Amino acid sequence: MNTDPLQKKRVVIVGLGGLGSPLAWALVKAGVEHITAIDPDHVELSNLHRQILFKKGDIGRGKAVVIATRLKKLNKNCQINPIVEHINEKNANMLLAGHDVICEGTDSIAAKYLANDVGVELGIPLVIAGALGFGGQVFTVVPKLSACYRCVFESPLHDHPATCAQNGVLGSVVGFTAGYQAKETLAILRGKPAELAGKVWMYDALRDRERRVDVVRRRDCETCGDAPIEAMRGVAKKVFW
Amino acid sequence: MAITVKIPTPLRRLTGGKDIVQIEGQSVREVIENLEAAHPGLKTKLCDDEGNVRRFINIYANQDDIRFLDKMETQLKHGDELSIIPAIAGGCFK
Repeated sequence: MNTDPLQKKRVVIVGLGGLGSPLAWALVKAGVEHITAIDPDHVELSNLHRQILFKKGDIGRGKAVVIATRLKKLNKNCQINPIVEHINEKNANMLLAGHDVICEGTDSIAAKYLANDVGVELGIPLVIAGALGFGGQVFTVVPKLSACYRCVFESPLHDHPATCAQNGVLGSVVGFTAGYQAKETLAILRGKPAELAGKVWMYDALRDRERRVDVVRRRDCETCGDAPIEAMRGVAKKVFW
Repeated sequence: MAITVKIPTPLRRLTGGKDIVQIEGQSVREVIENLEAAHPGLKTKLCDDEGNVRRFINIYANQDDIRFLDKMETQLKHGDELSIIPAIAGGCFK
């Protein structure tokens, strides 16, 4: 009888695009059987070159619903909870609570901050990923122990980095980045050290290089610092994905 | 007084594809000004209208985050390395 502890772990994936699709596939293939899959979008033709769980016949269907079907085909014991909704300040706590790891891979910087803030508040580790053009990035947050996303990249209130919708992204970059996100997630689920806690991992497909940059907690961080500023967090949470 | 500046992939359009450039300067601010002179458009990507580093970008002098040093006035010496680390969203491109 298989008693792999991964079977009992619960993962929530926020964003089921180029990162979330291969991530979900990798987690289920590794033995994770409880996944909450969140994405408000529907499958489009332009998704198909890198969002590996979707087919042409899925166009127009909710990504979360399609992914639930595909993952069940990989492992019939999977319990997939598809949520075709935006994550926002009203539903984030409810959607993210009760999981062992939060995986974030949306095209929205606001969603990354929201997931970060709620994850830290709930004490749930996060593995946050992004990909743009030829570059990928993965960052792990172990609440109150390692730097959170807002320790590293401060409030997004006035600034917004470029997104894939503006700059595009290479399909193989999201696949590679999602693979790294999966590796990190599985380590946390198995109780191993989170290699990227306190580090930002970056992949450069143009030079075929990867780098890790050490990052530290800020004592004045609005999310995990000594005195979180509720007002700041409230403002950030109003920027919905 | 050459400083090695590591350019992240999203900004390499502005450096002709170069991932590393050598720039003169005795402080982070000077390096960014000279970076702008050599590669127009970079400063706007790195700094806001008030000349401060944008909040979704971190700059490291060697291994140290300049926010914990003297920020834009952080002093540099020949051979130092500046790394630009932007927050990267993405993955759900439609």
